Amino acid sequence: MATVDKQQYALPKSELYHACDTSTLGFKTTDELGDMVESIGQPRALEALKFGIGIQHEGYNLYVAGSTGLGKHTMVKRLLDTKVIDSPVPADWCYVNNFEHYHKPIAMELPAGYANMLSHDMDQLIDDLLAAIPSVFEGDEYRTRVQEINDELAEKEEGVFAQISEVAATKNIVLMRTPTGYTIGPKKKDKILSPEEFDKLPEREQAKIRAETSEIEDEIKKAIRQIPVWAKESRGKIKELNREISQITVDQFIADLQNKYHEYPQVLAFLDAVNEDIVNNVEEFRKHGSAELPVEENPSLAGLITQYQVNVLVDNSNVKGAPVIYEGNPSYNNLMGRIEHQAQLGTLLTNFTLIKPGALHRANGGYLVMDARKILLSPFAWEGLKRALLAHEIRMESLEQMISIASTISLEPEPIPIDVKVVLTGDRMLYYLLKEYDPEFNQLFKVAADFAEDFDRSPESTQLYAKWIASLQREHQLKPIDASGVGRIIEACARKAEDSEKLSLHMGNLLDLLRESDYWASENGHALVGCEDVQQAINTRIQRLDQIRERMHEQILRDIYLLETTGSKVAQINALSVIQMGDYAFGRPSRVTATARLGAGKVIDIEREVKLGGALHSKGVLIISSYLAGRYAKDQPLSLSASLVFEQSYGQIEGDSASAAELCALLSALADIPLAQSLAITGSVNQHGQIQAIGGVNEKVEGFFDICKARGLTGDQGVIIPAANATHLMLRSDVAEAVEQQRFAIYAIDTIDDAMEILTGIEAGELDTQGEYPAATVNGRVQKRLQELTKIRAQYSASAQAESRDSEDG
Amino acid sequence: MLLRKRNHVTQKMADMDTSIKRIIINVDSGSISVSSMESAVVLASRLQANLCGLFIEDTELLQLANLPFTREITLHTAHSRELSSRSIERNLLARAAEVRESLQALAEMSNVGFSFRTVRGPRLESVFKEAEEYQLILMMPTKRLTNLRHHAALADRRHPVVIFYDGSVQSKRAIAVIKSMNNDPSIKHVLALTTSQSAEEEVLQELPEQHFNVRCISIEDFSIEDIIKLARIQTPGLMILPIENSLLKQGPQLRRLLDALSCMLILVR
Repeated sequence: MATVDKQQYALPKSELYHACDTSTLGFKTTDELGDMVESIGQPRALEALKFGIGIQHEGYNLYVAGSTGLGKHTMVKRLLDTKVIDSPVPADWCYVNNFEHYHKPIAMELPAGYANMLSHDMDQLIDDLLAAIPSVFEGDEYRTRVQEINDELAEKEEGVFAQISEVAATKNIVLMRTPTGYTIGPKKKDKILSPEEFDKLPEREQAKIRAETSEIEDEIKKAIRQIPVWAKESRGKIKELNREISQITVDQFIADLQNKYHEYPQVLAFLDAVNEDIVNNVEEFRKHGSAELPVEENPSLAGLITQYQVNVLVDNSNVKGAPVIYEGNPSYNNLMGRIEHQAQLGTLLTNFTLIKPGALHRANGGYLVMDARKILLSPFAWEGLKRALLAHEIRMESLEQMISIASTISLEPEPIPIDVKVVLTGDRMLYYLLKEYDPEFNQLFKVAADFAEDFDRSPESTQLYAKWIASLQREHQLKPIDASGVGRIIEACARKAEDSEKLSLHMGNLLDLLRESDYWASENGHALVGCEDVQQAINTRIQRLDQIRERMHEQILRDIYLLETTGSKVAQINALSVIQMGDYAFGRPSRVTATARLGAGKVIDIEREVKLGGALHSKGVLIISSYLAGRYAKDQPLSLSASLVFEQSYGQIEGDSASAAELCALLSALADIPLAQSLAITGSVNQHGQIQAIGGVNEKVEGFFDICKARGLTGDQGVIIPAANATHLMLRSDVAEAVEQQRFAIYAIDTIDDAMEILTGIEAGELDTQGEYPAATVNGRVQKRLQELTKIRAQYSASAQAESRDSEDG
Repeated sequence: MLLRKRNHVTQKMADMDTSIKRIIINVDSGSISVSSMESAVVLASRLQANLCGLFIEDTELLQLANLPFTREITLHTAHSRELSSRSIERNLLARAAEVRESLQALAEMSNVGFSFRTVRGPRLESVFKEAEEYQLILMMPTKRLTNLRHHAALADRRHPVVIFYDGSVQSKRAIAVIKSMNNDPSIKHVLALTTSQSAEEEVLQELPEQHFNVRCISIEDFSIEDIIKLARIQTPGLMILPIENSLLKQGPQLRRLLDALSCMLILVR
């Protein structure tokens, strides 16, 4: 058999790690670098943000897409802060009482700073009136005029009875008081006639007396009936007097405010309503004006004062330019505002002063920045936001009433028109989901600012990156970093980007590394952060997180989890997977085995059969099946039944990065050629046998390396990776050194044939013109085996048919 | 000279017994109310005097009720109903009991010595007869009006306390009544009708500036007509007059005065 030199596939050390040449950085420490003015690596997002912020048409709200830590908020903030400086300060908003319909408070728009001013003015007005109104009603003028009215009534009452008495006296009739009224009777010489004296009078005289007393009685009745009418007139006059006095008083105080706010018709209308209400309810002011209890202990007085107050919803007096509001908890109430209630004697009461603003109110005329996921997770918040944006107004509705939890009477505040640009930040997946399933989202969020995860690594971008590091270092008051430290950081960021030719733009991760490096520099007593401090930060971070990795590797090293790293075996191979634990990932080698026997052409993925295999993994196995058929059984049925399994794997498996390993194991089983156990392989294979790139290549290589290193490197161990992943390599220095010392190797392959050659040391073999592979090659042996299986199957099939015919005939 | 004269006056005053130990209030008038009874109790309490309520069952009224055609017209409903002496008696009894109960309760609350009498006879004459042993007689005006000013504490600039001062014991008792109002925080306005310069000086000395705003009007004689005219002009909150003047003892004169007043009248013996 022709053997193969696998060194042709080996990668040199220089391709395993793209180091940063610190000698070309051009500075010794970050103190020599200026601050970063513009953003780094986000030209697309930057232009989108500038466009989205600048365009003023309806529906051009923004969705800033990208994973957490890319600096989305920082860039949005910087751009908005620059933009709003020259923007006009929006109006203040407040709610005032609607004296005609108490449950519909009136919204009032005022220039910035005026709402608070009006609120203070109204408080002062009421204070003044509470003092002035009682005093004016206790004053001489009022009391004199009331006394005049009362005296007039008294005179009328006195007068009518005096008149009746006079008339009675002329007729010798006396008017006397009883405990409950009046009585009349005849008198003679100032003495009441006794019954005997009366009886002695002539009949005519008696009749005359009766008639005259009857007349007087009628007059008295008339007078008594008139008294309530006069009393009512008096009361009317007093009421009119009260109105006149209170109107004059209220007018005096309100006139100042009417002058002050003469340019604002809404305020003037409000003041007119206040004026009328106070005059109509002046008794309350009289009553409470002399109250001794303070407002806090006098609910009735508090209630009186409340209805004239101004509820300042939005006060822009201290705002310079348009507002930029960051709402960290975008619940429905926090967004739309809420109507609070107070418990009083077992009932829930509310009024317009209990209306509280939401983020939309505060951002009115400016910008509102929120996290997309948070708003979507808050019940009714997303719908509320869309409703407000579509209607261009904030209509406050009690959430409790909307979902029928509470049936108490609540307020219907007048809607407030809004003009706000909303900036949502969130991940890309969320953006596309909303775009796909929420038609209103497309209508309202027309601008997407898509943040890149990384950018190209070049000498120029490296310089820029160093400047960025310097800016962050200064901004967060960290120690200056020397060139070696900056170089190590840049290399770490390339590793984070999983590409030696890229640099990660995750500001969050970078900042963490800077902070932790700064810490270790302090611990080590360094004035500057150097390479070793950065490395220590990297190492200790891994150490904090890799307990699980340690345990797993321990299981391998203790042969609890079976994995061979020497020798060779048929139909068994070391595959590689990545385990993601939060923001830490590590590689774990696994044993994959295959069986092949006579069958009907099915390749069984045991993981899929027991529902431990995900769709992508199953896809990979089906591709293997297609590859086999396409390569070796074009003109004949595929007469095998094969099964593939990840040994000792009891959890979910997803992805097709092990499909190359699985195919190799299967080919080994068919060809009966052992595979080197000193090697591990990762890669995705397509139907034509081409090896495709996978993710986590660095972690996978290091995962297998660690096992081999722990057992003792033999010199023939290594990892086979897709050639397309070579550019992603940023391996640890110990791995690179082992490769340089030829104690370990990394092989880059393009096809499954390359993999089989490395794993078996035997030529893969090329198809000849007859459609056959050379017998002494891997492919030849696979082909031969499949042909054998086909023959055997045909024989079985023929004999089965014969038996069937015999039984029919028989 | 003035100082010696004043000291002489003070000494002379100190020799007179101006104490008030017994007060009687006539409670059968239609204008009696809880406020006026409260005023009487307060006055008795401050003077540390006993208070007697006097209800007169007017014989004239009873006689009138005996006439066969007599009817009563009720005050608030103008309803006319037959009146008999029995019904008026019952009415008077009920009213007396009601007033007694109110006055007693007020007196007990203030720890004032209390008694009550119901007497049948001609009204004003009976009052004088029953009140012979009393230093103060409190009488209510005839008017049954809503704006009746009969609370002594309400005496203010617009409704001063009117007194007649001639240096007599009665005058001094009148001063004592006014001084008993000293506990009230507001300034008391007093209009004193004085008969001489010395009387005026005495009044001013007895009623110090810090508590009383005293205005004096000099008069030559005590005249009911003048008093009535004064009452109409000055609208007093309280009037205190000496009873020893024979004019006031005459029923008709007193009746005219009571008809003209809109405040309580205190007769001082």
